[in-house]
Amino acid sequence: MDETHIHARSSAISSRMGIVGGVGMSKPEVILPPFSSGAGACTAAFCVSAAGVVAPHFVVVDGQAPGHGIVTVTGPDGFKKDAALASWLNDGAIVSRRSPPGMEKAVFDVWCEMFSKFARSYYPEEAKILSLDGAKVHLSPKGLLVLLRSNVNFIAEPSRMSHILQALDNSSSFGRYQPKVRSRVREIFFECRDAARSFKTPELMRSIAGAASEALTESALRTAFLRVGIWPLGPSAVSREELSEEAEAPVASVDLELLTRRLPPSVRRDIKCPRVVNGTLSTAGRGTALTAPEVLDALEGEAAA
Amino acid sequence: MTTKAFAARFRMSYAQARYFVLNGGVLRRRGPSPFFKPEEEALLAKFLATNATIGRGLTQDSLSRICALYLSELSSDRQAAARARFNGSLTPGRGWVSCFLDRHPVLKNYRVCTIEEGRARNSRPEVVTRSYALLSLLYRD
Repeated sequence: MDETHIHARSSAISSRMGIVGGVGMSKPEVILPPFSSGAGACTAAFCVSAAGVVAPHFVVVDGQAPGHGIVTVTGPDGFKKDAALASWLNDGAIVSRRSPPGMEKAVFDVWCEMFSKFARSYYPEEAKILSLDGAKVHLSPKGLLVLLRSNVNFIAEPSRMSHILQALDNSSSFGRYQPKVRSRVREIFFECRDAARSFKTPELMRSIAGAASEALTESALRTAFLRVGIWPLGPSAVSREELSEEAEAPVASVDLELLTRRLPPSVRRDIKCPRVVNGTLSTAGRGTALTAPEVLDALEGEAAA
Repeated sequence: MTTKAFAARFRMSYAQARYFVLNGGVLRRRGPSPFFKPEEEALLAKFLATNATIGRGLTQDSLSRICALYLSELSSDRQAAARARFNGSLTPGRGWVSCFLDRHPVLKNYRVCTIEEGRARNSRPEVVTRSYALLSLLYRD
């Protein structure tokens, strides 16, 4: 699982588009439709599996009143009615409102509930492993317990390592998704300009859903998992080039497979000894099984303090 | 065989054929002399490749600056020769850099992405393998 910020407004303003015009124009410009409040940017959380399945989308949009995202739309008959923003996304999706549009522990708890419901419906008897970055908003004991009850084991990746270890942070997943969402936003804003209406939150949802269905395909996700070596497990997928950045000297020869085979006893000890630094769980330099009883106890202790 | 016939036979222009014949089989026009000794150039090429690997790649302008820094540490004779070669300055120009890159096919211009320093510093083999070991434990259990 990973979150990505979608800057619809900046994508539309700063994008380089080509238009067709007559010879001799000195400074051709394109008019931008107005962006309604809340449609400028949002955060989308995606969760994908090695089998190529995308969990229901979870989007946080800008809104002063926290809660579910609902908008008033005018139907073809001219009557106004309320519609849930999630209706523009895939089945089971949730759109939450928050200002600024980002994650926090309460929002993450809602995501955990949504995901555990999805996990229970998908091979219910089998345990699942969920890998996330070690952001502090993910360290919510309430959400972790909800996941644990649905037989989902939660791993926090070592801090600042998601670019190497996370399937979603890969060129086959978000690397494909981000350009698609930008092009969708541009496409829809041209539509809005031609229809003389503003770019509203439902249009933003349409961009997100369209780009996700185009970019996060089964084959792309399988490739992403293969590339980071999470499934099938293969540490040798990590290139030496990636490990040499900011090193004193290039990493010339290291057998990652062999090292991985030798580490489990020490990792098993690590699982039982959560490291708490400055009143919060530290994931620096090592992955942490957040659903391990010792880690949950430590998190609950910190939350109570 | 005349130069004209030679050019027609090998599908090259007359000027190319003439250059080839006059310069003992050199196809491309020779650039200016390299200035640095072959050992210095080899070391510079290795320095560039290593720096690019550890995330400290140099742009063409930075390469010129590094050369100028190196030349400023050399004897006054070599500095005078460098000034004569590089138009009164110790800094080689872009022309020299492009000739240098031509002379070293192991070097290539890349468009680069950026990575935060914290991420680069954390990307160590033991951190990566520890994470995979944790996954392998969970897969096993």
